[in-house]
Amino acid sequence: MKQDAKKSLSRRIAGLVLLKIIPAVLLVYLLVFTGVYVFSVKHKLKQLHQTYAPGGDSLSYSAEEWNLIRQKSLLNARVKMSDSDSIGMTINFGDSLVQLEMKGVVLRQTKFDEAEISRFFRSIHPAAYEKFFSNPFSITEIEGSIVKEPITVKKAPKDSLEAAQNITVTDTSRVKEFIEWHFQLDSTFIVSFVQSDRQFGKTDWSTIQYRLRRHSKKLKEINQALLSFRMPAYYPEITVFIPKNEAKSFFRALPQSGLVSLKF
Amino acid sequence: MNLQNDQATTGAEANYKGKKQQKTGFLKRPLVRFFAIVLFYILFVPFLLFATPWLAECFLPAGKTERQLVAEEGREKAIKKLQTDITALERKIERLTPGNAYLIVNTTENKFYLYKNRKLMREGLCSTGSYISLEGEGDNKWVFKTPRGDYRIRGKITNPVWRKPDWAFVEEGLPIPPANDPSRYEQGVLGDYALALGDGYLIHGTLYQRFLGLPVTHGCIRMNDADLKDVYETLPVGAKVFIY
Repeated sequence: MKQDAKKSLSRRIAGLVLLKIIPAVLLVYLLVFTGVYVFSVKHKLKQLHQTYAPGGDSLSYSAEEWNLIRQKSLLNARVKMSDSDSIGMTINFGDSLVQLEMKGVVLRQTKFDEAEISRFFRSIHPAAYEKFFSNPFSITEIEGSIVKEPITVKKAPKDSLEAAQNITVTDTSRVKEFIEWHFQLDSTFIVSFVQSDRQFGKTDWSTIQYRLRRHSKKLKEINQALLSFRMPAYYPEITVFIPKNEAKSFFRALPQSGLVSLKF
Repeated sequence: MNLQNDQATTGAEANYKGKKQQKTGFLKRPLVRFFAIVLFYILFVPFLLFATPWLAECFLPAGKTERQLVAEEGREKAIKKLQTDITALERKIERLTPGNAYLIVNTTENKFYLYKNRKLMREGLCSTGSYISLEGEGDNKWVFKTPRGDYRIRGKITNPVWRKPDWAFVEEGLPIPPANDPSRYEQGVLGDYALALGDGYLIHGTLYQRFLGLPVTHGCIRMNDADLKDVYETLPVGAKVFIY
């Protein structure tokens, strides 16, 4: 009887905690998080406008002028990018083009049909846009579902007999890998690339690991900011879907601190 | 009396049951509440990661839309200046692309593209570095990869002879011979032509044509005989080679 009473009490407590207290705490956390995040997004836009167009932008632009501003900004960025010795990338959302460049020479170009662009970029007014996008951005972080350099370590054989036995066979089993990667630009925003050809599915284990790493890092940073009563960092995101071969080539080619030019 | 009491009790019970059914709505059923809370737990993290940023962005102001389709008089000057600047920038970028022959090598797909007069002349398969890291005795370590960047053709050779570096012996489990030992020199393995890129890297032919398109080399770029001949004849000394 006593044991039954104890069991019943512990069940009630567990029920209370799991079904009422924890959800209530999480709900409050969610509401606070959403409110602070909304503020963080608006603050980021305001900061950008204050940095790049402190006098504001009261001019009235025609469609033609706005297009020309965007085009000129991209060309300015590309010219500055050509001064660098490393491989860079240009993403032109207007023409749906992604290209790798080195010293102004286009190495590889591909069109994309699908892209998800954060509303943040469309909220930037022309005066700030011109200054912000006239310089190439630096990659501050780059990571993907595949390794950047697929190095295989091989121990030198002791003699020719061992060398004859240890013939390295080229691994072609990576045909079924799923390519997904992202880079962060100037610690300001994130551009992701996902292979557009889906025939190999999305159940590749390394892709799942990559996504878990990426999202758990984001969650950790946001929670740390909230728990220390700071505004969580907001990184507007862009996702571009390109063919697998290009996605892989671009990921392997771009250096850790490469330059990227953008046009919306 | 008893019958009346029974009827009264039954009536009271019926009232109570009716009232109970009225109070217990769909959402208040224990099982529904339980699943709703489980769903909340499951969706909590995805909501934080995806729904919240999307929701936050909904509060952003719409972009500065075009106020008019035709420019005002004052803006015509600005538009003309923009067009002039754009033309100048486009010309500047165009001049960066070599007008003569150049080669582009894709080390991920093991393909090459030969350009002349800004037109693609030839493309094909090649072999580039295998990304094998060979660890010898002590601190001896070699990583076989084709370096990325822009290079120039430093020299052109016909019937090249391969001077085997130390790793070629270490890889075979053989002792490393002295620098000018005859065993270091091997003929006929680099094809009919070779183009030097500097730092010991070459574009040359291969006996292993079936491996073209695969990353199997020690850093050099291998091509088949026909492609190599065309590349050799097209690229002069000083021509650019872009490797990515």
